[in-house]
Amino acid sequence: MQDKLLLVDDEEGIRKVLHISLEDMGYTVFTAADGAEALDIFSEKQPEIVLTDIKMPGIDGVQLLRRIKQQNPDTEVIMITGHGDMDLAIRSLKNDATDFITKPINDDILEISLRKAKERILVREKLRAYTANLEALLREKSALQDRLSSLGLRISSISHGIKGLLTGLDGGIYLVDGGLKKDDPEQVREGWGIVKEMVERIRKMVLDILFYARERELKPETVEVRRFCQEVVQGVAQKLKERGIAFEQDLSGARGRFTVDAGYLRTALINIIENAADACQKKNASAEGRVTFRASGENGDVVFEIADNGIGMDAETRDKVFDLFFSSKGSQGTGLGLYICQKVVGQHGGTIRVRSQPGRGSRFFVNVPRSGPEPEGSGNHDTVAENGADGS
Amino acid sequence: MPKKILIIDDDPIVVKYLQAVFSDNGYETCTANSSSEGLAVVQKEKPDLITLDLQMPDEWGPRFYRRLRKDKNLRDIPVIVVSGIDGDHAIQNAVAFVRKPFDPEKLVGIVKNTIG
Repeated sequence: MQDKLLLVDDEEGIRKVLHISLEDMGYTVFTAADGAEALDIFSEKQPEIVLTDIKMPGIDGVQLLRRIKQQNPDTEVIMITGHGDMDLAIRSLKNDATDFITKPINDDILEISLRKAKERILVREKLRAYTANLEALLREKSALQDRLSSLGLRISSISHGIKGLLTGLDGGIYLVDGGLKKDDPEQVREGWGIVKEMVERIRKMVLDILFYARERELKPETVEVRRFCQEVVQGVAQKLKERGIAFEQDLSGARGRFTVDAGYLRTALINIIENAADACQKKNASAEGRVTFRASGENGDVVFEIADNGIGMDAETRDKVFDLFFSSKGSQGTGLGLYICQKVVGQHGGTIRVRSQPGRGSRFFVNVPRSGPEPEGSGNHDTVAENGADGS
Repeated sequence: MPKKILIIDDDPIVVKYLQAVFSDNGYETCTANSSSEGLAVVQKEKPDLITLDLQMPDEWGPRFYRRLRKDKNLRDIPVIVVSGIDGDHAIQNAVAFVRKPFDPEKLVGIVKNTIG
């Protein structure tokens, strides 16, 4: 694209001659005979360069220069001066004129002066591009930093969990060793119990991490809802009994079939039930811990409901309960369990909701569409935390 | 009379572990699984030394430590931090920071140097 140039001179002869020279140099030239006309054309055509006589009737060159710089400070303005206009020329430079050339105008000098103006324009453009790039880079950097620091947070929270488990394992081994030395079978038994528990927890954590780290495709199969529920119950009933927690089931609404990755979904539900048991055990109340598992059908979904009478959750915990690495269990939790549950249910195109209030237990609702998971990539999952104001 | 150590940690297994380590080395122990419980036990048992975990549900160790240091009668009890957290967060003048998982012999060494 050709550069636009505005030529201002009250002498018609100079306008004509310069017009030709400037067009030869490759400019698109507009001309004006005085300051007022120049300002009109300037507003309309927005030329990058203005070449103006310094002495004109009406608005003179210096005034024109000021007005143009006010409108667009990036405009390059070259002043044309006669002999004895040195004071005016200096005032022009003080008002940020690019250059001044003297009459009679030598084409070479004009060309040099214009080149100078062009260079200033190019430098300014480059500077602007650099600045924009720099700003974009800074934005990217801070976004990256956010990601890194949240990753760092995740790693530090998981490493804390791992250290806790290893310490527990050390403790179990220490007790076994000491018990063997002292010939104290009770201590050996106790230590061995801890070792087994820690190994179980480490195993679970490692599997959770592997699960989290890897995107796994579902292997859907069509199964009977009731049989699926019975398998879930089998997976947890014994454990809950051992922990002294009453486990109630209501599978009367579990009818028909649905298409799911049964192994995966079962693991997710068992995880929620075990959480419910944890919540009961943390409550130091005289009332016995009670977990209820219910299945029913609703609008093409199978709905699982897991309720407990445990410690419940406040709003803050409730909102974060599905977050990765969020755990309310201190050193006992990895913060992976419910995150993974949500992921599994989401992969099935279902939803998890929770209602809970501190001291009044929690109630998880897992909706899974009977039709089975949607193809990979189009999963529509969301989670909703509700308050327990409905008195459930 | 044997010296008494208060163990504050929310993980019951770690508490049991530390109890075993200390009693095997001739110390008496008392325990607490939270900051607030810890304060009550300190008042009651007047231990000679405290091991303190930093990250616990409800109230973290540093808050316990601040309260302890405000009490004229308790502020001189030496504290050893036993924690899985890196860094010496907000616990000034702790006798030592022991990182989990820890070497029981080293821990006992620190305890012996501190209270004999």
